[in-house]
Amino acid sequence: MTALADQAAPVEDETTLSRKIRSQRRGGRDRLVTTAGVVVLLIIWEIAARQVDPILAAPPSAVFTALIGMVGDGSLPTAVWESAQPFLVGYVLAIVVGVPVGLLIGRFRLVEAAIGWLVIAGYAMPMIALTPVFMLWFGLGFAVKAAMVMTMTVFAISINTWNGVQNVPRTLIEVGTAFCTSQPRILSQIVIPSVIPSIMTGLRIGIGKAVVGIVIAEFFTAIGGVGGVIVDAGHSFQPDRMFAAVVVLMLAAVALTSLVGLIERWLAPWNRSIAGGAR
Amino acid sequence: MSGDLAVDVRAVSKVFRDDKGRDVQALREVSFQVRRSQIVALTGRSGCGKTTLLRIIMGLEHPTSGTVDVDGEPVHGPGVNRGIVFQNAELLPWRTALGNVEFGLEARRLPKAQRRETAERAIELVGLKDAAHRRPHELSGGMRQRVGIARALAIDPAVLLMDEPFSALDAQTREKMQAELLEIHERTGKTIIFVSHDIDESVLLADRVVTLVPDPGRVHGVLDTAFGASTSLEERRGSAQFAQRRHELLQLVHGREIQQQDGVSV
Repeated sequence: MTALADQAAPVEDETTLSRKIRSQRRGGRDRLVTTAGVVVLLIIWEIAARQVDPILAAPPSAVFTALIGMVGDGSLPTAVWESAQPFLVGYVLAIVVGVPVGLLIGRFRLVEAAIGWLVIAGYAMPMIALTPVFMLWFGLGFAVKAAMVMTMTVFAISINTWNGVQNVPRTLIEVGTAFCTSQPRILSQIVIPSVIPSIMTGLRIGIGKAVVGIVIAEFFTAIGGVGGVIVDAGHSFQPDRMFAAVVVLMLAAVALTSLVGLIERWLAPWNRSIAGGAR
Repeated sequence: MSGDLAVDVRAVSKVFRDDKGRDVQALREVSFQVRRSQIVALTGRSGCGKTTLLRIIMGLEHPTSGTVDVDGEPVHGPGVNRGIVFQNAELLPWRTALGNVEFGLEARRLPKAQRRETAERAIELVGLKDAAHRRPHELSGGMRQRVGIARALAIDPAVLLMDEPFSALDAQTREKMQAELLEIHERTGKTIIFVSHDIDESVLLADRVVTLVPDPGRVHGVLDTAFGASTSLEERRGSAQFAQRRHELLQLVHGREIQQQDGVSV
């Protein structure tokens, strides 16, 4: 259990890391430095891994070979596909539930008093603790994976949306009031557009959480998916295959996070310029 | 007489409750009148309640006692007979300049084409025709404030209410905007009430300056400055009348009676 919780931390750091990488992309020199950093890390890893028993660690070259092999024999694409489906279902469910809940809590005091604590508790609590009971409820297949992804993600999305509603500039709402705009129109024309950047932040953090969710579910159930590949490789002393799967997870998380970033830029192009990130 | 009045503020008092539950009197028995097509400045040191007073006229705050009539109708809340210009323009960042002007018109159920046309005319009036399709973050501070003015003018209000409209701008832009405001006033004949802590601005732009003093906020004096509508800002600034009015206003704002300078009292 502790080992799993530790696994969760680096994946979450990935989100902030990828955001950092995104902003670093600005200059060619920065990109060069990043590349150099990756190369140096790979070299150190390569040298270090060659010093130890191949049962315990695999150098990047071996991981890369394993990766090619796993793609070649179709085991990796199958695993990714197995993980991607419940991931997507759980993530979309989290959005469908999380955003409206966040909007309602942020907009109405009564709703905040009723369920605000639940969202905070859900966000703060390690959801891993619920995995055994989730397995009882949802079995060992698709449903438990989707449910895990959903519960890991929904609170992050809700809490960010909620936060966004609270941070809608009061003066903008006042503009609506001053020009005799109706309440529904204030909501649709002022509040929701203001909250979009916060919602997107929630979705971006949610990606990291959702990856943790799917891996945890697959670790516990040990049935299929990229998580399943990791468990199997670990049990059969094949660190190269294990690391290959971890690298795939990492790349997927970074790619999905940047995708959400792209969507955000498309949905709210004004936000980046306000934040001073125009260049 | 009342047909000539655009705004009539009668004995308005406002008591706020602060964080510690104590009552703070922001305004006490404030009365003044604004005739049609007049430009009136509300000025005074910070804490004198000038912004609160303007917000009461806007309908965004309710007076504890007293009444405000705009265009002969009592104010109970925001209304389309008042166009409001905010201190920092407060445009919707996701809308273009034109879209922001249209926003003000949307509460009135005009046909879309007519709304667009009205907004375009207002944008043209403030000289932003070429920037109509830019978003606020692509506009300079002065341009943003012009959009704010266009948004307020588009609804064709009886009174234009402006809260420190140029205070966030740099000195040169501010001067330019002041000149343009006079031009807009000349062209539209709108009644304008603006809040300013800038003595020069108040004297230069307004026909009449209402000064307030704090603790509690109350009217300390009303000064007529009227330069005559067609006098340019340059002429105004260079005139002896400006220096004289400016001096008088400073005296008023700092709570001294004008008579002092005549040696009537110490």
